[in-house]
Amino acid sequence: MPEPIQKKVCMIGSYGVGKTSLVRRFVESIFDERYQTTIGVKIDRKRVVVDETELNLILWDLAGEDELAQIRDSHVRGASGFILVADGCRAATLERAVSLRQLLGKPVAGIPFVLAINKADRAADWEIPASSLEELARTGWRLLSTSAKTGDGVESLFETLARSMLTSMQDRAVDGI
Amino acid sequence: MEFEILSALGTVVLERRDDGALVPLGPIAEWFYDIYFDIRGRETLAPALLGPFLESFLLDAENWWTANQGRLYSGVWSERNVRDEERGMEAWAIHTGTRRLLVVRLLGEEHLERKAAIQIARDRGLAHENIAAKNRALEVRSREVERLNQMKSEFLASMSHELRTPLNAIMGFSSLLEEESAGPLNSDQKRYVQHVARAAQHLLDLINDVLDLSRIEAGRIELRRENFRLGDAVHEVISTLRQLAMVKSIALAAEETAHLLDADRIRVKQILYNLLSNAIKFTPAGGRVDLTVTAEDEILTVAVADTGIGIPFEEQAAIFEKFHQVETESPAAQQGTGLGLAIARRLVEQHGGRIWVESRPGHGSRFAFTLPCRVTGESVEELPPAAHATPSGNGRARVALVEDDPAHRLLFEAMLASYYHVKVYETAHQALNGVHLDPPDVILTDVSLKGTDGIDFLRQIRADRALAGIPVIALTAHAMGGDRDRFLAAGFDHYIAKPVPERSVLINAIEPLVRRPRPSHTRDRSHA
Repeated sequence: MPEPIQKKVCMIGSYGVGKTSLVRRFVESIFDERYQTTIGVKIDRKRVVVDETELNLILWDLAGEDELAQIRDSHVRGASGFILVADGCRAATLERAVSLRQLLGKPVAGIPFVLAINKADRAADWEIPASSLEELARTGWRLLSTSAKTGDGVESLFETLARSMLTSMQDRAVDGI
Repeated sequence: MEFEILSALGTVVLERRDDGALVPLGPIAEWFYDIYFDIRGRETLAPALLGPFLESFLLDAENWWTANQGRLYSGVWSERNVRDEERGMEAWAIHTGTRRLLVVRLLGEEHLERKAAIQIARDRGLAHENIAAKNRALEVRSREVERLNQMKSEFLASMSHELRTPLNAIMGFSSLLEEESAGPLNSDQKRYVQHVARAAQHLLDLINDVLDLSRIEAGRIELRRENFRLGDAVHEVISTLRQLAMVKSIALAAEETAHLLDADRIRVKQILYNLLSNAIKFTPAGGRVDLTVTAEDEILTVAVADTGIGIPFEEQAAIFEKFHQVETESPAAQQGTGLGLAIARRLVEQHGGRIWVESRPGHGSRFAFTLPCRVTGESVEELPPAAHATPSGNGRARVALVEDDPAHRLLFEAMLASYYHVKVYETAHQALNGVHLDPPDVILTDVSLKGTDGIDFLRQIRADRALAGIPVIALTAHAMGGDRDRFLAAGFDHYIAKPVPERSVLINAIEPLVRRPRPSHTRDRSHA
């Protein structure tokens, strides 16, 4: 069995959207209703097998962006993929996710990412209009609806990103990069 | 020595050698081993053994060390140790000029305090956002409810208009047939016409009740409070119902009362009418219906007692609900809409009172309601007694009738022709030409005329100096709350709601207007 391929994955988004909860659900199958803010970076690991390839995902859960914390370039550098997270019940968090993608610029240019619209368990309270999501999907963004609370869409979220990272890695190998 | 002190304080210091390996300076703290357990027993450490965060930070440090002296800060990060406990850390890459060091510190209380402060700030932020989102959702819902209410009102107004229009023909022609003004009817024909008239009246009651209840439930009925004598309202309602009681040989009596009310006179009369007509309906021939009034602590209690069939105890609470009718063999139950008591209850409650029933099957019922008696001992403007007008005898007045519905034209012409010179017009345009040539004493016009509607027609009459003084009566199936005021405010001299059940309604409206003095220029023209 070859050594698993190590991949750095960053979780990015506004505070309170559920980045840490998504990681905990994925890594430990746990959900805690209480909101526990993240300071700095939280590192977690999870091994996944995608298309018979074993990946060791190093999950960099970056503190939510606000006036109290800003993402450091160094935290994102070297990432193989990232997950943008928005809270379906807070329309502003989608706008923030979109602008973060642009702000991060060079360190994340060309690397795979997936947009998770979290809190699918409260879909009735969602503020984000379907038209906004359709618009992003039309521009090529991969979007998934997730619920860290129920686990819906969480495995699929990380698996989708892992598969994209593998494909990207293979493409780069073919291109000799 | 200094590194041993740092170590004793729980700080780990590693020196970066020229070959890239890291060497501990002083003993490594146990917490560090708990996190990076692969380094235990090693003398030199490869960056990859220190976990992804430090490995990444060391890459940054390599670049920084080559060009700088001083220290580079990593920021805070956390990882889990062997016991799955989360540990917060921070690190510095230090270049002294001669040595390159990595210093890693375990975060303690001060980190928890900082985290708690940020947690509070973010909790507050989330709470604010949550409240703002709920407010936005409430605003959206409120707008939606408003929109639905508006749609409902428009539907009700439209339904009312569309139902009243054919009812006008049914009720009006039934009334003319009953009068035998077009020739005598045989006894069967009379009975048939009476059935048509009763059924039409029932349908009109139902329409009025449904609209009333809808408006009350939507909170769209505003009470128009005024000071009036309860006894006068009782007297007016009793007068209306006396005929109905006489037909069934029911003794209908009301106690004289001088109490003054500050209430909506029309709505109080509606409550009285609903209770008294109900009592008459459910009381067998030869029975009694009595209205009594008592006052205590500025609260009036009005009671309507009958010797009717009574109501089983288990149904007494439900009879104030919509469309509830007591199950009975009595044909009287078939005559009701099932809404009268529901409306009465809502109107009483809107006045700040309550309504209830006491009853035993076979021993009659007593419906009672309370009303706050806010005014006592004050004088009330005496109203002249209502009188039926009679058409002026000498010199028949001239009436212009503008109506685009052929059946209604025929009906109103038939109702008026015995008393007035009636000139009929199908459109406002025809009428404008006609009244110039032959000015009438009064104009009756439908409001929803095809082409120029009744309101535009009125404006043109008022704008024409020669015609401006002619009284104009709106004759319309727009009979929702507020319509009357709307049309009077538009400048009509009188308002008649369709259906018009009998000719006296028209005559009572026309007579005061044709007797009213008018400006000389219009009068001169009319007799030219």
